[in-house]
Amino acid sequence: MWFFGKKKQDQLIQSLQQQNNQNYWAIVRRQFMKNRLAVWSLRFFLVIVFIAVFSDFIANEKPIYCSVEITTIKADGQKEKRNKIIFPIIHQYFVDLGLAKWDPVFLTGEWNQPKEDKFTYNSVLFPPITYLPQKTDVSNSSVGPWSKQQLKKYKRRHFLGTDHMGRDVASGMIHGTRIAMLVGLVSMSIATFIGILLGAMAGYFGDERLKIPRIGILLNILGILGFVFYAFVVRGYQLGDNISEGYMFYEMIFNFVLFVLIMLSTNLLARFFKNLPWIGKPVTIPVDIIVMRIIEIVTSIPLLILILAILAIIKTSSIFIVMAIIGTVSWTGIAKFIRAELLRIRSLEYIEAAQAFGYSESRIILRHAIPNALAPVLIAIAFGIASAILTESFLSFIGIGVPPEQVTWGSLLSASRIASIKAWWLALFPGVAIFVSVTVFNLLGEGLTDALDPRQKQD
Amino acid sequence: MFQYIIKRILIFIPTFLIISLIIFGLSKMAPGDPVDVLLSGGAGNEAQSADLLAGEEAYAQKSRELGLDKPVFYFVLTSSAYPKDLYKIKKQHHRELVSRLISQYGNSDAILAYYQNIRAFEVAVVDLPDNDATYESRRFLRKTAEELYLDYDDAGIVFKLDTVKKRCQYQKEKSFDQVRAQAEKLYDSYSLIKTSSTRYKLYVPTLHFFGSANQYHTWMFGDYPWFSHVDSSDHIRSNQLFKEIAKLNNEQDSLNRRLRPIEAQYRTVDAMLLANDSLQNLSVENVDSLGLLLVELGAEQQTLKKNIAPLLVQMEQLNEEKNEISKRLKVYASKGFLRGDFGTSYSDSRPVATKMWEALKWTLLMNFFGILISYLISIPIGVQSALWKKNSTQFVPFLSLPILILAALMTGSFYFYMSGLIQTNIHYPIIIACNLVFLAICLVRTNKKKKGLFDLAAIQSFWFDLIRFRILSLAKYSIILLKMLYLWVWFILFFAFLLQPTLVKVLLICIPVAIYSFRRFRRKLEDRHKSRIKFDKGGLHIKGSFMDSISTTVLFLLYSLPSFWIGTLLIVFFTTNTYGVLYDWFPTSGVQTLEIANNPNLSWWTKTSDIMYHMILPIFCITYSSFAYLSRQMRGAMLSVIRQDYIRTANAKGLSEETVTWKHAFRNSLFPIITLFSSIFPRALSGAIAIELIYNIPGMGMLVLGAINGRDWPVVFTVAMLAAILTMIGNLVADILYAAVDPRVSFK
Repeated sequence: MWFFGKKKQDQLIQSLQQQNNQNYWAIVRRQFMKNRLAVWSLRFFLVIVFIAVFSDFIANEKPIYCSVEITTIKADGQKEKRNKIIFPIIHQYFVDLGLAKWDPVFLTGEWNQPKEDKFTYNSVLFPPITYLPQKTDVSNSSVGPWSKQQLKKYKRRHFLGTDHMGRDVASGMIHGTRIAMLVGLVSMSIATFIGILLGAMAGYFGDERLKIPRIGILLNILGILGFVFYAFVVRGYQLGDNISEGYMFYEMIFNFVLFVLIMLSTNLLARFFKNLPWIGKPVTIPVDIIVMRIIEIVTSIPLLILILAILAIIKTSSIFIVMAIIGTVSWTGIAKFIRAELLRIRSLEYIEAAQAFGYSESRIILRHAIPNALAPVLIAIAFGIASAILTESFLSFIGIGVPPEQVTWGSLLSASRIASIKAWWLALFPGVAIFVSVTVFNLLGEGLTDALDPRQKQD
Repeated sequence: MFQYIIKRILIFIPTFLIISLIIFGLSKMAPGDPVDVLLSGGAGNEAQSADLLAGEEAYAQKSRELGLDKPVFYFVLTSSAYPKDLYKIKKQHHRELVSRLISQYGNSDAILAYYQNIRAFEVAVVDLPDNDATYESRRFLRKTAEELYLDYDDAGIVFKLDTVKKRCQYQKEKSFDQVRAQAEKLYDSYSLIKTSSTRYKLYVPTLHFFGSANQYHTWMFGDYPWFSHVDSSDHIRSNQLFKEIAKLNNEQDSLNRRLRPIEAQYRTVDAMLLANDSLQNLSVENVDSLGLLLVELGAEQQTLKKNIAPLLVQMEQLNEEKNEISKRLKVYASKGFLRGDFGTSYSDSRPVATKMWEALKWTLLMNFFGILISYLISIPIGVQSALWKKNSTQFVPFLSLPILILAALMTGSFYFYMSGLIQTNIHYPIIIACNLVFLAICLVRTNKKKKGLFDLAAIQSFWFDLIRFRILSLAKYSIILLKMLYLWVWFILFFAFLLQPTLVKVLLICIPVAIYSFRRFRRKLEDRHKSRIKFDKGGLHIKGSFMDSISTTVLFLLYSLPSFWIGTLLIVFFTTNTYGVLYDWFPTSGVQTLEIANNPNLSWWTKTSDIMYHMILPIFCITYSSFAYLSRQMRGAMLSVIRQDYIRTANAKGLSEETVTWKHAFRNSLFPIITLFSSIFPRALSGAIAIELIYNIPGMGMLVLGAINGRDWPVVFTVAMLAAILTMIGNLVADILYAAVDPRVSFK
């Protein structure tokens, strides 16, 4: 077997690598690998990601593979039988993408208990959990993992019981993994984008380095006002309608492109006036103060209440809106980290060298400064994902923001309050899922902190 | 220092204003019409145009009271297509209709004309005579007119106007002339909108300025005069009238309350007599006495009614006067947020401030104890954990006799109490006594090594510190609280043991005994944890660093445990007897038992202990999460201080370990704890929402949740605003405390 002696092999490879390259990331990696908890959480993380990616193949109504005998009734009343091998779950992906179609017999027949006159299985391989999270199993509502369950044909047991509507808990947990990971991914990408942008500007320019000619300031303010006018005043009603109809990402991208276009054009315009006597005179802008004030404002409003207030205003909410809101309010940590790093980096010699070469500021920030400041951001991202998952499950626990038909860990947990006090399986298992994923990300963050902390190397 | 404080406060003001702007903006984006909610709908059934107008007047009155009849902000950036006085359209959905149509066509004059035509049409329809022939049409036209206010889509409007026109032509009655003419006008005005569309105007920006008479200004600063009371004679008279009417109302109510039973009695007696007339089943005496009673009751009724009649007349007069005054009186919407006027709730018209005070009581109670306990536990754990990392081995007297005896006593008491054999009056004293005895033992034994069993000097110094309330000196005794863990862990182990079935009990005894008695196993166990754990002298010798890694891991896991999950688990397992009689430890939910809270005979102490009993689980949930976080912070701070040179110097001078830890290291490691203190204020306000939801505690969290679900925006935004302010004040206080505690921090 491949894993026999793997550890020894790894150690050998590691020691060889240590001799060869002692660069920064290798040291960090070695420090990280020393921390047993962090390594275990990394393994758990991989398992969680695996579950999230392949959740359709772990819990699904449809079989993974089946060879079926399809019965069709011809126009003259004769029955015709034919055999076919299909992979229904993979086929479903193609159908969703519009590349394939289902045979009409499969549209009505249930996969779990196929009707004799439609099709029968010659051989079949079902996923371990034969339920979808949203599907209700009426005959088995509020059954526990060990209580008696009414099962027919290809329906397996509800391994972790069901809720009051007969929805399978295990399946909900498997599919909830994907949502939890998506929440972490999407919200943290938004937060990282905003945080790096603002933090890098504040850290690199500080209070004294950014000098813009007066006309530039004026045109930029006008540009922002113009953007606000054309995006939110002229298209206000259209924007609101589109968001409530679920085109939020389209609107976000559209407005972002509009913003970039307007700001680009105003800045290009400002270049023409750069050499004029009074309006072309450069003025220092205290970027650091401005950004720190923005951070103070955002951290002053309690996040939970802010999120609740925003969610309450939105008429038809979806899980993606929740993700976007969590992302847009939780960037402050990342911004602080990257600001602190850039404050250190900007006085290093290689940045001075780059400036001496005459590189533009944007090139120095993007290609030279930020890549060296990214390490601590990883810590903030790891902790941020943990708190994003926690926030989302909390929101679905109290039933705000996440639509009721969406099954998440939080909504499963909240079902234990609705159903009856006896449903211990509803209280226990989803909570374990939340706890494990939050702990994994917290431990990853902790391990990264230790590995990136220079003081730690001495111990 | 003083300069720094002034500077901080000056920075505080713009931040505050921006936050208020954000929250105000959010509140303006909230869907729904507050005035409609407060007036609870009621439109659509007017019999005459006068009623319609009266309804509109009432709407306008209400919106004036709420300050909604003003422009939204000091200025507005809008396109030139919009007229400046759009805000003067009273009803919100009317305003939305006009503004949406303008955003489509851009010609405000034609659109306003169309809007006026809809209104005229509605009035005409309402004024139609109410007879059978026109009933159906009238209802249909009324409904369509109302729907026209909500329709912004071209196809929908055209369809509705067409049907209206057809319906009007179909009705040949003379009374329909007016309506028919209006419908024609309406149709024409809509086609005018489409033909004279000026869309280019939409892309030209303009700024409108409104001055300080706007909604934001009213909400924030109020429109009530700042430096003088409004004491015109009208206001005084109106206040007087208000009071007098209330008084008269009360009198009338009390009279009515007396009158009602008498009336009922009169009616029954009357009915009996009437029945008797037909059935003849009562004796003559009875009939006579009943007749007398009837007369008596009648007389009493008459006098009461006589008393009430002048009251009613008086009230009517007063009401008339009040209405007259209120017509010329200037209505002030609000005193403003800054003067503590948070508006009224949409759901029950009560002031937000009173609602918040009621809720705040519970939240503060819960959070005060939660935070207090978590600080009390986290400081010793943090310090001890840092010391563990430094020290070599730690002796844990796990098997010492007094601990075992006390734990067994507690377990027994608890077991008998749960089985119902003993009552609280025996159970509580036993538990409390056990803990106190244990505390006393710990206290006496603190300095055992040095000065014998009863160290009088140590007790004396503890007493002096206590009466002088020297908190920093007292902190070192908090380690003793940590030692309570020994007792409680044994207690929990004993009790968990008792709950097991017999077979498991036997196994649980036999296996450890067997392992311990076979030398081979024992040596293997000791070998595996070489130099980490050693069994000796009735306790465990644990290596310091191992202890530290265990405690940090446990704290980390506690920190990651979502408190709403733990709350749910506790409520599922430990509040009912579903899983056995022995698990029914706590009340299910709420803050008080209704019978105890409503019983006036019970003592204050009974009620308080009832509340505390209900609060145990919520406080536990709040405590454990924050205590894990605080302990980690404390440990980190303590570790970074212990590594400093001056600690080494202090050690080298030969100071005792205790002095070095508590006098030199501890005081310098308090800074992060001080900064964390600033986050406490807002947490107390926003409350542990989930905990309150799970345990059904009517605190701030529940208030906010209820307000969000009930679209009660004033409450939501007041809470958000106050939480933001408290966070900022917390930051300010933390900064100042920081400067006060640490002379090295100089703010320039």
